[in-house]
Amino acid sequence: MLFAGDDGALVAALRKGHPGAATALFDRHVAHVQRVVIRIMGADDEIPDLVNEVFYQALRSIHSLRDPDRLGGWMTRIAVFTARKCIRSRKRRSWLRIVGDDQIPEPAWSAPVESSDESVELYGQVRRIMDRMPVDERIVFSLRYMDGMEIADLADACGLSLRTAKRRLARCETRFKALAATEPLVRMRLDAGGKWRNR
Amino acid sequence: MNDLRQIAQEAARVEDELARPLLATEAAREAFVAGVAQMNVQRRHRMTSPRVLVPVMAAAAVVGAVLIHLAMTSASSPEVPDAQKWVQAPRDESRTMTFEDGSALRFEQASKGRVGFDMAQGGRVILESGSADIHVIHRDGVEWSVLAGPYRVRVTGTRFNVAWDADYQRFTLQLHDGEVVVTGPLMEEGQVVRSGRVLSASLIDERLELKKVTSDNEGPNETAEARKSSDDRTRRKTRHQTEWAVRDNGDDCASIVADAEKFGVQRLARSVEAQQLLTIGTAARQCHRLDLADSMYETLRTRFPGTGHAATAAFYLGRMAFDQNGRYDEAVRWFETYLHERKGETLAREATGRLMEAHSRAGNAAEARRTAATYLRDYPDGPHARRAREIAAP
Repeated sequence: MLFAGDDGALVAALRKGHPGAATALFDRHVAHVQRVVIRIMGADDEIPDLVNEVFYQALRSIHSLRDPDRLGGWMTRIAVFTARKCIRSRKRRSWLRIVGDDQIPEPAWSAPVESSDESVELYGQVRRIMDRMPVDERIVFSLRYMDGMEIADLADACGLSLRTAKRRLARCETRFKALAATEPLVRMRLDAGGKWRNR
Repeated sequence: MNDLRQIAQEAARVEDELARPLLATEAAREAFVAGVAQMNVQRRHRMTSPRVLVPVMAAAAVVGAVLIHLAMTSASSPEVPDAQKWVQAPRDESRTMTFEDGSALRFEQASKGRVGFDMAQGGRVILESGSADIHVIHRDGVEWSVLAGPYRVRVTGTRFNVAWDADYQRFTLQLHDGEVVVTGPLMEEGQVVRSGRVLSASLIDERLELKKVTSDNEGPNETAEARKSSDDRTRRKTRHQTEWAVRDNGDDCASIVADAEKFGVQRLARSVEAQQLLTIGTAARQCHRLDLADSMYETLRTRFPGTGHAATAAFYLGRMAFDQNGRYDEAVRWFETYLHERKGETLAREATGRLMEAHSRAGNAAEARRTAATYLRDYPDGPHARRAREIAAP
C-alpha cells in the first residue's frame, strides 16, 4: 500500500503502523542518511547495513519523536549516533585485534575511480588522519568540512549547543593540523595554502 | 574557501566515487522492506505470546483487586488516576501525584509515562520519556520500581529525580536521600546509588558515570514555577566531583590482561599503538602483574620515544619501583625522566612529591631537601607539602 503525505503525516502513519509508511520513510530519507553515514564512516563496506540500522532504529523509536515536522533532522541525528556507535564499538574491538597481512580485508575504497592518483592518495591520507581523531571531532570534521553542513545543522545533528559545536570545530581543526604532520600530501597542501605555514 | 575545506572537499569527491557501489539499490530497498516485515512479525509475536500475556493478565488482576487511592493534582485540575494510568504532563506544566502512604511523584513538563500503586506492594512507575521527581516513603516489605527506558530502579524509601531521554538514549538519576539499586545496560549486575550522587548512562556512547553533586535540588513538593524542565536541569551548572568515572569493557583489568595473553604479549608489544600499550601496562599494574606492566611500559618507551605516552610510562615505572619493589634509586631515575620530558604537565606534582620521597628513602638527604624546596615553591598546598616541610626543615 502506497503512502502519500508530508513528514508530519508520515510520522502519524508510522505510529499507526500504516503498511506503506516504512517504505515511504526509506525512500524519502535514504539518500540523505546514506550521505551522512558515508561522510562519517568513509567508503566502508558496512555502509548498507548501517543505513538499514538507522531506519530500523527510527522505526523502533518513532513514538519518541517530539516534533514530527522535524523528521529530517531527527533522522540525521540517528544517522550520526548510529555511525558514532559503530566507530566506538570498532575501536574497542580492535584494540587487541592482530591480523596477518594475508588476512587484511580489501578496503572498499580500492575500487577503480576516475579521480587522479593524487586525489585518491589525498583521500587515503585524510581518512587516516580522521581515523586518529577522537570520534566526536571526526564527526564534526566530516560533516562540516567534507559535507559542508551549516554549523547550526551540525550542532543539531550532534546534539550540541551552537557554542559547543564551534568549540569542537576549532579543536578538530587544530588536531587535524597536528596529525597532518605525518601525512606528506596533506601537509604539503596545507603548507602550500599558507594557512598553517607559520602556526 | 580555506585550505582545509578545499582538501576535505577534494577528499569528499573521491569518497563519493568510491562509495558509489555501496549506495542503496533496489535490492537494498527490498532487504529493508523484508526486515521491517520481520520486525512486525516479532512484535506481534511478543504481543500475543502466552509467556508475555500471563504475567500481564496476572498483574492486571492483582492491580484491579487492590485499593488504589491516589490523589493526583496538577496546577490546574486535581484528578484521581486508575492503576496503570497513562500520565502526560503538558509542555508548560508539571503533574504531581500523591499516594495513600504519603509517597509523591511529579512528572516534569512534557514528561510522560504510566503509574500503578497498591498499599501492600508499593508503586510501579514507567517513565516513557522526560523526567520525574519521586519521593517514596519507606515501609517495611514494600518496594517501588521505576522503569526508565531499559533501566530499572529498585526503591525502598528515598527521594530522587529520574530522567530518560529516548532520543539520545540517556538515563540520569539524581539521588537526594536514601539509596537505590539500578539495573540495566552497562550495569547488569546492579549499581548502588547513594545520597548526593548522580548516575548517568548513555547507551549511544556506552558510557556510565557516577558523580557526587554538591548542590541539592528541590524535592517533589516545590511548586512547578520553582522547577526547571529536565533539559534545563541537565544544563544547570552544578559543581561535580568525579568519584568514579568511566566503566566499560575496556576498564576491566583482568580481562585486558587475559586478552593480551591470549593474543600473545610479544606480538602485541610489537604491533599495537602507544595508547594500547599504556592500557595493557596499566591494566597489568592494577592486577599486580608487574612483569607484564614493566614489559609494556618499557616497550612503549622504546617504540614511541619522546611522546606523552612514553613520559606517562616513565611515571608509572617510577611508581612501580617505588610502591611494589622498594627500588628507590630506580624510582628516582624514572620520576626525573618524567619531569625532564613533561615538566609542568598532569602528573608533575605527583612525580615531584614522589621524587622527593624516593630521594629521602634512598638516603639522598641533600637531593631530598632540594626537591622538597622545589615542591613547596611549586605546590605549597599539594598533598606532599607537609612531608616536604619535614624534609626541608634543617
